[in-house]
Amino acid sequence: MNALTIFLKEFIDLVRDRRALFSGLAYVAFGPLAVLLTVNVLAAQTRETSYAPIKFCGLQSSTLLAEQLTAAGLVFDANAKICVNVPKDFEAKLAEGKAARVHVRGDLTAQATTVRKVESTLMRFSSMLSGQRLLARGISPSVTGPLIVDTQSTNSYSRQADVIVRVLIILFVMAPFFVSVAAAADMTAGERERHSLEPLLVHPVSAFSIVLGKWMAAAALGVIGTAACVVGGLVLLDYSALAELGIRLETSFETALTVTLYLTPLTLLTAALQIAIGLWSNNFKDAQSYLMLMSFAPAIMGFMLTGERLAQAGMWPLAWEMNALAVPLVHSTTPTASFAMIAALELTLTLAVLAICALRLRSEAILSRV
Amino acid sequence: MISGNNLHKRFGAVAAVDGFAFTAKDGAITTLLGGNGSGKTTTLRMIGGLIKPNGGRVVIDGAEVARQRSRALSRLGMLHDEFGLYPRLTVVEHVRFAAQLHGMSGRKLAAAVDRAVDSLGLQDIRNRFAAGLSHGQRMKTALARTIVHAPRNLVLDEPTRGLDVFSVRVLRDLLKRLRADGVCILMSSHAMAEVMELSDRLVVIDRGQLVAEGTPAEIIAQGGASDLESAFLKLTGVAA
Repeated sequence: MNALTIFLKEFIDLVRDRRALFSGLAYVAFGPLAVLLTVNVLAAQTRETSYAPIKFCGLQSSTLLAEQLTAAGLVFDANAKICVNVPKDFEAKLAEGKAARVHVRGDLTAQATTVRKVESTLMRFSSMLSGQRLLARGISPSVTGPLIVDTQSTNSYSRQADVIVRVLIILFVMAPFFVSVAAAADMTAGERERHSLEPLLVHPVSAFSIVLGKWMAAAALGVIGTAACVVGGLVLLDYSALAELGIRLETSFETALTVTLYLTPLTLLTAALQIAIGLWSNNFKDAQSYLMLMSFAPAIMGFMLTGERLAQAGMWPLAWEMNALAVPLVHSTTPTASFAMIAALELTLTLAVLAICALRLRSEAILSRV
Repeated sequence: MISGNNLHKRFGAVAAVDGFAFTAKDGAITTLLGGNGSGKTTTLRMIGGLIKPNGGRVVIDGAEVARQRSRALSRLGMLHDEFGLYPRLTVVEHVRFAAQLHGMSGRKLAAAVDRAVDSLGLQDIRNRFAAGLSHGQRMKTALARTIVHAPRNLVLDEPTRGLDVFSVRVLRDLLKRLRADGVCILMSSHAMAEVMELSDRLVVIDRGQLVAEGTPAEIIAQGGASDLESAFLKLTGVAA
């Protein structure tokens, strides 16, 4: 009952705290937006329309080659940095059935995609010409091309797509950490700083009830903020160019619900850890700094633990979420521990952290002047 | 009634309270008089259960604070020198929050909140946020929060510090009313005029030990002085 009273007071206080709300909502709003922009920029870079312009250099140009290259989606521009050098006798050699050398010059580090496109177009043209020459001599083109290679990808997404999905999962896993930073700092270290902790502690209320009430407020904000981040993120990404990158992301309401459910035990544990860090901090600013540092833990883990190592750590909080979120989002088949098991572990850890917080609240050290 | 018996409290090598004993009776205002660092605040914190004595015990209406914390605190109201309000809560929300923490609900809660707000003349500002209150209004809000559950024992740590004359008058009148109702009031103060005006008994503390105890007139006599300030200085060894 007392915990509920404290929760309601903290929640009202929190709703009126613009600083805490803005800090939480900023991540919810800008996090998914940043991923959306990243996806769209990457997609734009891979589109055919994004090929760099080309030009003919040297003394000669070729209408025949220009037609082939234009048909392949390449654009000619006099200021282009990639140039196709055609010899003077280019068309005469072709007419005589001889080989003609064409030079392609460009920065292979910055414009590799366009250079490869020019090369492949020229090779295709060359192959077509050789076929015509063989036919004119009564030989089937298949004589010089005994193998026809047809490559079909069985993977739904590329390595680039894998990184994007990983970033998306990290964004969702970081949400519980970022959303309630200011709120948790305010209701713990902030409480000490404004000297409202002593009046609170002289009420006939157990330390655990006080900690529980504060944790409930931080956790409620965490769950609401995380759900908003997941729903907002999936809605935004539904309108993104993910498909162009070869990523088939599930963005249904059911997926959002599953992702939020998977993140809820972690959100509860995170709120408990935030309360603990706040209670051990000297003042609001200290608490905010420590909590911000803690918020980057998922990102560090997400980029350090990949593949096999991440799968091996999948029994532990954070690593489990990193693995498990890929299941509803991209239908990953990586085996993970059961949700019930990780939820039980995270809730046990939450209770342990809250019990430690209650001891801290009863210690005299917390009352030392700030 | 609040009593402290052979209280000891050490912070490292420093003995903040060293065998101190006192009694604050019902229906009387007892003032804890002492200089800075004399052990006043440490004693008040032990009464509120915020710190545990290394030796001795504090008893409130028969309940030992260290052993029966909840029972003892339910009979206590404590006003801190820093009022400790929440800037984003209104006056009435502060009072209601405290009442709820004392287990009140429903009509009893509403009546208690209204009574506390009215008794301190806070009706006009009951819905104002604490962030916009003056020092005097903040003291009154904190006091309303302290008395909302009608405690039989009231502890006030330097309640008149920084208050204007109007606020002091309100506080003084309230304390007199509560004393008449049989409430045990224990306060610490440096303001000698207030001490003389309000106190029924004085407990002088210095270096964590009891120096003198009695009515203001008895303390003046014990100090061999003509006024309380001079007596206090003599008893605490500051004046020769």
